[in-house]
Amino acid sequence: MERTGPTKITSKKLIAVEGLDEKNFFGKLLPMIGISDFQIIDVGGKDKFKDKFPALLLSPGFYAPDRTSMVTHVAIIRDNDEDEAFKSVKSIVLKTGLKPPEEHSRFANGTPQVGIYIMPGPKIKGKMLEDLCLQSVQTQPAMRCVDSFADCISKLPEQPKNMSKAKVQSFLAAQPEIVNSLGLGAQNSYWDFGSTVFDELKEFLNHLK
Amino acid sequence: MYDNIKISNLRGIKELEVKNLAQVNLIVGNNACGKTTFLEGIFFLIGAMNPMLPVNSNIFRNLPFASNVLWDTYFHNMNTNTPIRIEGQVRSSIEKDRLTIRPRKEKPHRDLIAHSDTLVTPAGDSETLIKIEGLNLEYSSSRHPEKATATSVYIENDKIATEGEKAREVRGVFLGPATPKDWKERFATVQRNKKLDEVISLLKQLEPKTSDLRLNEVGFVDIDVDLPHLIPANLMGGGFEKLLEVALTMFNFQHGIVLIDEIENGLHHSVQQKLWDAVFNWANTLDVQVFATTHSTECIKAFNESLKASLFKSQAKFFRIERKDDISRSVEYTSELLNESIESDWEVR
Repeated sequence: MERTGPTKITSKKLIAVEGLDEKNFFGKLLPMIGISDFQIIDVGGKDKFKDKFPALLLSPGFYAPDRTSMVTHVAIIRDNDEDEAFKSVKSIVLKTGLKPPEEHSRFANGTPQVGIYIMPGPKIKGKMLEDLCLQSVQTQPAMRCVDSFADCISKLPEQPKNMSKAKVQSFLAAQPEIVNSLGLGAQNSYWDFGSTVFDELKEFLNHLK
Repeated sequence: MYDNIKISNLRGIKELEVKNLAQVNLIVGNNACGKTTFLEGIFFLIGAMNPMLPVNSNIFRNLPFASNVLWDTYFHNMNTNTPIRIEGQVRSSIEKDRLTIRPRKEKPHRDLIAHSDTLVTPAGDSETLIKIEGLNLEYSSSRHPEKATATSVYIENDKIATEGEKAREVRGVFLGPATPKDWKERFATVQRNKKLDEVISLLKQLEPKTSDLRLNEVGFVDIDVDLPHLIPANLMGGGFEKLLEVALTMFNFQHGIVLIDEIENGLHHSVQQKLWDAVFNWANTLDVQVFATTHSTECIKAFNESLKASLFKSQAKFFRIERKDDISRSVEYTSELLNESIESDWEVR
């Protein structure tokens, strides 16, 4: 039986993400682009970065007793569902004494190297990972049904609060084996990881190689 | 009480500074990282007028015998050329208490001094003839710079002897799995101060039928749990004994320091939060600074839960001592950062 217990830092390369969906998504994507030695840390929500990131840095395995960093890279990835998301994450990093990057989708030259990526990326319309995934399958036949369904529900008196999430759910419902989350969709390769819409994200992640 | 403690050359610790100490401090870390040594360092500092403390400390570490071969073991890597230094910055001040411990060397034989301090063996290495027979403790405080004191502990005729011992108000106590229990005197103090009800209230968390405590004729505490007769508290199990011990000790060391090694020892996890509730409350009301160690995740979670519900969040800290080779450091968690880590189920030990 697998031993369970508190999560320990076991890799030199950490990817801090918002939640379980992102954990499953990057857990699938990273090995596909040749990155195998990494650890994805789920901070439990975009509003949690401020409180969780300083706590993460205290975890055993982040700094050695001589205060050198045992972690070489920290990638922080979150959605863009607030104004100035990059600036907000940069400020959180600065407060911990680490050096944040000056630009989005870049890594700073510190120890560890800290990179920030705000979803879905500057070239993709939308505010979240869901938008990026939907763009990757935009030409698939199922998306015609998804768009049609989205168009229909957009006319309801009470519409879904988050249309991107609604579209993701309807896309997943159109698959032969239905799964109920973006992350599990990624695990089942329902998103097209070969699509060029992922290029900028992959370029960012390639720093972890 | 101290804000910062700095220890050098004591047992496994070459250099360690723990800053921003709080009223209640929970300390964790891997085996042999220096947790118990950290408590031991504070114990030596607060009882610096009593040269027996290093010997007592060995008893707490299950080394209950006196021998000249043990004196080296107090020094990091058994290097007696570098003194042990323990420095405590007094709470909310710039004042410091300092203790320096050096080896006490036996007086060399006069005939040998006339020739040489050392002998050269056939193998070519040299060995000093001067043996260590004890420890010299030098205590000073910037609060009373004129009153630096020196004491010694050593072995003479196969018995422990001391010099320069000074009477001084006891400022703290070390509780560990192997420390002898001083029920009699501590119980009497609690009884005199009319605090038995508070102790009984805590013990009720473990045994709801607890209604009274009495000191028996041989100096043990008897407990009334609604049986036809009283029974010794020691027979109520390790958890009961631990709660009673911590309770009686805290009431006895008002304005002092209580050091508790392996605080979770003997306690079921369901009771640990009750213990922490009581410790936070008494640390605050009795003005006791508490340093406790643990290896237990359940104990840390209980500490966190108790802290979340308490009014004393800012008066508690969590520290992890890390050590690799000769380098040690303390990692400080505020109550907020500890809670964030535990909420995320991230390792903190």
